[in-house]
Amino acid sequence: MKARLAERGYFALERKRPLPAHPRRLALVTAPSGAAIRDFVRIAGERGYGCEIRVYPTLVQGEGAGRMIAAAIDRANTQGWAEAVALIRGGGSLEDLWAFNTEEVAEAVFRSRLPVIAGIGHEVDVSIADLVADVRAATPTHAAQLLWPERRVLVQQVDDLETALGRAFGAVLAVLGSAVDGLERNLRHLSPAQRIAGWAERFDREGAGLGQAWNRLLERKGAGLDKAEGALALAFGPGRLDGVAAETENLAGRLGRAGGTYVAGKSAGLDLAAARLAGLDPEGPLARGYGLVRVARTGRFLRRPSEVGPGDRLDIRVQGGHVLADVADAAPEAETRGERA
Amino acid sequence: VNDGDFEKQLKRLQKIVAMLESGDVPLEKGVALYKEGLELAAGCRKRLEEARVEIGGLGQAGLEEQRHGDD
Repeated sequence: MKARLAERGYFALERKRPLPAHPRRLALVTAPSGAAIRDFVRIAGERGYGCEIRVYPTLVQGEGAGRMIAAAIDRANTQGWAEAVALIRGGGSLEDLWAFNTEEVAEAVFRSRLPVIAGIGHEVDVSIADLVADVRAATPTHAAQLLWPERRVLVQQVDDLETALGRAFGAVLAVLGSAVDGLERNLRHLSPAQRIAGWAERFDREGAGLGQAWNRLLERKGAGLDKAEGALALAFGPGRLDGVAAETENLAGRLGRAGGTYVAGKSAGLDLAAARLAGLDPEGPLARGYGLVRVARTGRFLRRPSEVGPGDRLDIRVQGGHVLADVADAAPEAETRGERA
Repeated sequence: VNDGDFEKQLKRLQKIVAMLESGDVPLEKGVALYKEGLELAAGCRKRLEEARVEIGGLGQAGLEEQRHGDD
């Protein structure tokens, strides 16, 4: 039978499936009492982080045990609640273990959709069911050990992770801390306090400069004022007034002199003119025998013969008085000359 | 029993440690991760302390038999 099962691939390693790392729901196919289930449950309780075990009770020896075992495996699969099936039985004689060598059990294990772990008898016992199962444990206790990790190991794992967590976070803080130090150094340059201090310093400096500039301005204005005052004094001060007075006197003197000279010049001219006028005095020639003849009718001086005719009275001015004469005849010069001649 | 997923919590804790170990984590996120990690570690430890096995499928008689079974 073993050879036939092998031929059908019942023992093939390539069809072995891994067990879940920590089954939380396990179908336990075994006798409901006895050392096997007791040991298995005790070990399960010591390992892992807790699980549920649903027992599929069955006879494990005697008449009909094989059929019952197969039915229990099938039922676990039909219910589909568990993640894996554990098939266990405590130690006994070869006769006692016979049910696990039956073809019906082998077939049930083979067709199980759930992975099956078998822990049957003692270490030396190897049944057909052991060989068909996905995982073979030496004993029921060993089966429980293979199904769940040691709790101590899990606790250690958590402790190690917590330690690593603290260390990693510390490293993060250290990295960030040094980054923060750098940023803080940079920030110090940009800090408002620093800037305000800088501004205050600059304010003081500018304030002092402003004061100095103001003083310089005042000095400069003062100097300018002095200069203006000097200029003003020069323009309108007593000295200047003295100067103006002197100039005025000077000018007055010059005016006086010029006036004198002018008047003198004019007087001289007048004298000359008078002298010259004297030469034109119509009275002058009278002294020398000339007479001024005026036509009595017109009052005009007689210049030509044609201006008078017979009958006109002539007023002749001579030195010392007038002579009235009547015109006998008036003729041009040639006639008279001829007459005289 | 154990409706919280121990393995999921443990994996998350491992991932958090790996993230922090990578060093490429901003402070705020780092602090949040660290806090979460501590809570996960505490939760896992509590889980392990309170871990137990629940037995079903036996019925009252079976349970009695299992508890006081013959050696």
